[in-house]
Amino acid sequence: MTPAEWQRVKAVLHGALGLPPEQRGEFLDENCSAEGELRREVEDLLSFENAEDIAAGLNVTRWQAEHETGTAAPLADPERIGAYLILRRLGEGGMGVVYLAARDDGAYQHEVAVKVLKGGSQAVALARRFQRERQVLAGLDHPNIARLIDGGTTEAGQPYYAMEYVAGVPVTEFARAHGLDLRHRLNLFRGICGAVSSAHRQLVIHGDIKPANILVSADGAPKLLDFGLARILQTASTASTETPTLLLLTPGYASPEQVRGERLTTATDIYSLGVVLYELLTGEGPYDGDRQSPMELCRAICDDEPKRPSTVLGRRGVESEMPLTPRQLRGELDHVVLKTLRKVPGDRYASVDELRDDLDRYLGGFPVRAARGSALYRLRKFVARHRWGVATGVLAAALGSVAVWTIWRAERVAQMRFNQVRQLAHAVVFDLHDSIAELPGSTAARKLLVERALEYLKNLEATSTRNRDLQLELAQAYTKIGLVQASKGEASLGDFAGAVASYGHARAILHAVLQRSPGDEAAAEALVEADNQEAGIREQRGESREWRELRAETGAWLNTLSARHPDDRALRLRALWAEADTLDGEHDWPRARATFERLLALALEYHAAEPANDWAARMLTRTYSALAEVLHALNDVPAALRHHREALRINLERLARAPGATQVKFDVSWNYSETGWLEHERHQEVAAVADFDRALDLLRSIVSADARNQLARVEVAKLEMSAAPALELSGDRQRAVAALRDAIAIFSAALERDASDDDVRMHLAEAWGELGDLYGRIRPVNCGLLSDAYRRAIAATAPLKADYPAGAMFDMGELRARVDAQLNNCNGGHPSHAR
Amino acid sequence: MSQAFQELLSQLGSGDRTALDEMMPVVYAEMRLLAGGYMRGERAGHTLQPTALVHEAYLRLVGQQQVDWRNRAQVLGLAARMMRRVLLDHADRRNAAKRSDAQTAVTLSLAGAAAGPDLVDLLDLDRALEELSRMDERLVALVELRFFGGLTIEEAAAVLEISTATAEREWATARMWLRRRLSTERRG
Repeated sequence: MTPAEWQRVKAVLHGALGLPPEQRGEFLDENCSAEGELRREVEDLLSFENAEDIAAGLNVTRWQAEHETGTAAPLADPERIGAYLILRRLGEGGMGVVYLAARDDGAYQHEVAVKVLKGGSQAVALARRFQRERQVLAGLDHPNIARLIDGGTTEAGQPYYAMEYVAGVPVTEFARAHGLDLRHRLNLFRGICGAVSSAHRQLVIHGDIKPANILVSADGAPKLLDFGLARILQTASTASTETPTLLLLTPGYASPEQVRGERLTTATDIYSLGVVLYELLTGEGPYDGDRQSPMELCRAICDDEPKRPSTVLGRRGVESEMPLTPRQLRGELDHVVLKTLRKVPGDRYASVDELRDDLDRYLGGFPVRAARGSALYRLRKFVARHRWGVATGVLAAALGSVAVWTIWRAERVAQMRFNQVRQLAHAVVFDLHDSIAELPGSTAARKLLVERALEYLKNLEATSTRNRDLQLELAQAYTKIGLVQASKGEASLGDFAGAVASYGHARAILHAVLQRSPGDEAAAEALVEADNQEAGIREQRGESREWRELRAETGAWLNTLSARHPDDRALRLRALWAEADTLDGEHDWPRARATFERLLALALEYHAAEPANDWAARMLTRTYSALAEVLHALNDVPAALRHHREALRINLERLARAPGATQVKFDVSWNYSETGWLEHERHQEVAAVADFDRALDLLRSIVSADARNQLARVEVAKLEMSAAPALELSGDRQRAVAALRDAIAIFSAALERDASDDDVRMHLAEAWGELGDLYGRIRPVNCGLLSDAYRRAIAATAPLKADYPAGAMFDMGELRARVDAQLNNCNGGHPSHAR
Repeated sequence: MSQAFQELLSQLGSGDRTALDEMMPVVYAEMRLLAGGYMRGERAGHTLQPTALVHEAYLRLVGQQQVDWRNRAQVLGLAARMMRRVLLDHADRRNAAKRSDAQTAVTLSLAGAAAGPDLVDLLDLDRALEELSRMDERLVALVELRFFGGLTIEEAAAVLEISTATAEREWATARMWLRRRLSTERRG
């Protein structure tokens, strides 16, 4: 066929493809009736239209010579491996082939089991990893653990290891064959727990606990095989491109986190022990009832709650070969088994010893611990039940394919990458960011770091929209970004619009999480944090409606949390703070005062109990300052000053403990500016100037350490504005002018960076206005300077929205009226230019 | 990632399409290295996923840096083409080395076949694609991107600079054609 002919075929074919099959005949009649050839070709091709036939992607399955039957040639057993003489093949599993072998060094012979691993492409990595771990594994010395003797690489490059040969049968088989009663089964299981616990104490995780790895010899002693190897395999494969682990794992005994490809922990072993116990008690696995394929099993492991062991025994009734009765399991043992099988590792027994203790309690006739909190657990489960919905759908879609294992593995590769990237992002956001946050000069670096991490997280989010932990990390990352962009009283880049957006993202995510599971305290905490940060900048921008909503939400959540944890002092303080702060924001001074006084009593108590606790100390200073402001609003200036000084005293102690800390410097400078302002109000101008100077020195030291810290810069400017009247009244008019000019320069530069920062714009306008006022007080009046300043004041307010939120720090209308009046008074000026 | 590759990538980012050609040997070498790791000392019956390999190669070459998604698709597409070559080279070498074996085939399983792993000889597939390329090169390019690169329809469409809808129709066509071609191959 020529390309041109083919194009005609394709044109007709594409047309037909867009139609339902029953309309195609007519379409072909219309389009190629005259040309039999064309129609035949199109119809022939259409007969191969079967979407399921060839999917995207292919697998190269056989790399080596095949026989005509298409099956692989069985590998001949080697005569020897390393120093071992192969006696016979003991078995073959997913992991590799096991031989009975003997070390043949003349003097004495002892039998060992030699396992040759299917290393695949990462044989080298595996062998290297194995070498590194060997000492640790060889050090596992426990009567119930089969000792690792040796390990190495075969001539063909496959890793192998030799371990103590155990002549025994899998534990479940042993129990069945001997018809063990409940007590014997539990005692056998306790022995296994002892071995696992001992390994855990030496920081070795088994990772693949299953009956086939627990052999019981004729004398009834259990021995665990293959300790630590699953982890070696996993680690070796993460470094490489392929992931054999799941292929090697027996999915029936894998924990949810293992199925998802997450890191192995001791909780994983506890889960697998639980499956073994389940099988010992019921004769079947927790998900045996209705699963078919490995994929379905994996889904069940992640999603389904296992049936209570007693009901499984009960269901089978008389058919059961089990010498146990449902009644024996009902209640306590059900609780114990189910606690080991919880989906979330943290919900299981904290250690194997705890599990064993509970079995001891049961055997001793005491109530088991697992029974406690299990009603609560069920309640929580109920709330969280649908979390896996989406992921399950994806898995289910992959079902029905013969390439189940391949897909599964691909899923796993994806999952592992997912986890790696997530761990990286987590480390960046939480460890790295926090560790440099207090370093001077780090603002830009922090922004870069958090942005990078956020990018990673966002990519992950696209693949896993309902993963709660991920959602939480995302929200926290957004909050951190907001913090770097703009936050009240902390080093930031002064990007308010960006910060509002970031906090908004964080809050939206957290709202969704909390809607699904209202009891999620970590999410509630994260929401409170995001709320607090956003409220801080909303307040700064005078956006009182948003501010009030945020405070209300914070207060509600903190009260809920505090009610749930009545002993948590910090929570109680925070809940009360939110309450007082809201009253303060609403200018309800008498009630705000009463609430802050209650808060102060609690904060003093907390600080006295934990003097080294910086959070408690800062909380106390903030309470003093906030109360001082309320007292000020109530016109009790001496009391206000006393409280500010108390805050200052404690903050100076904090600064002495952490001299470089930006946050503490901010805190102290803020205290000084408050006392300076109060001194100015009671006409102690020299004292006021002294305090303002101290405050300025601190802020300038922040700026000189970190030139990018915009917030500190802007704070310098604001402080200079506050100090100007005191400077003027103390007799230093020149300094007052210089301070205002400097403030104006800083505000202007900040506006150039972020024209949307209305707070800075307001301050700029006000600074020009004050400069104009000041020029108006210098005799003779220089009307040129004065009118220039005023003109600029007016110009600065021009881009502001007419409906600038109520409660903003300055009254724009008032400023304009004042400026107009002054300009009219200035005879030498040119008021006509003012507009 | 090598400095050179990074430079090529930024050239690609600034719209320089010749950068893609210059990447070819680098990508090819990387793919061979990776694929080699799989092929050495393999047991029969081992499953290799070329798509995973392509993405692996991509990750190794490009690393964590930000790449415009169009460029990403271009590089992935290149890796996909290189993957086909790597597989063929490998099959050729095997055949040359083991001429004496009754049958030495690198077989492909078209994942998703309903009735069991549907094994296709790589050389058969290559011959089929060769034949198809004489009529319709774009279709072959699409197959390479999808089969060997595991690119999505959208990504493949971006590489070929066609609309997604067109890519979908073309993909359906390619599948029909290949299925017919390969099934007659086996019958005949």
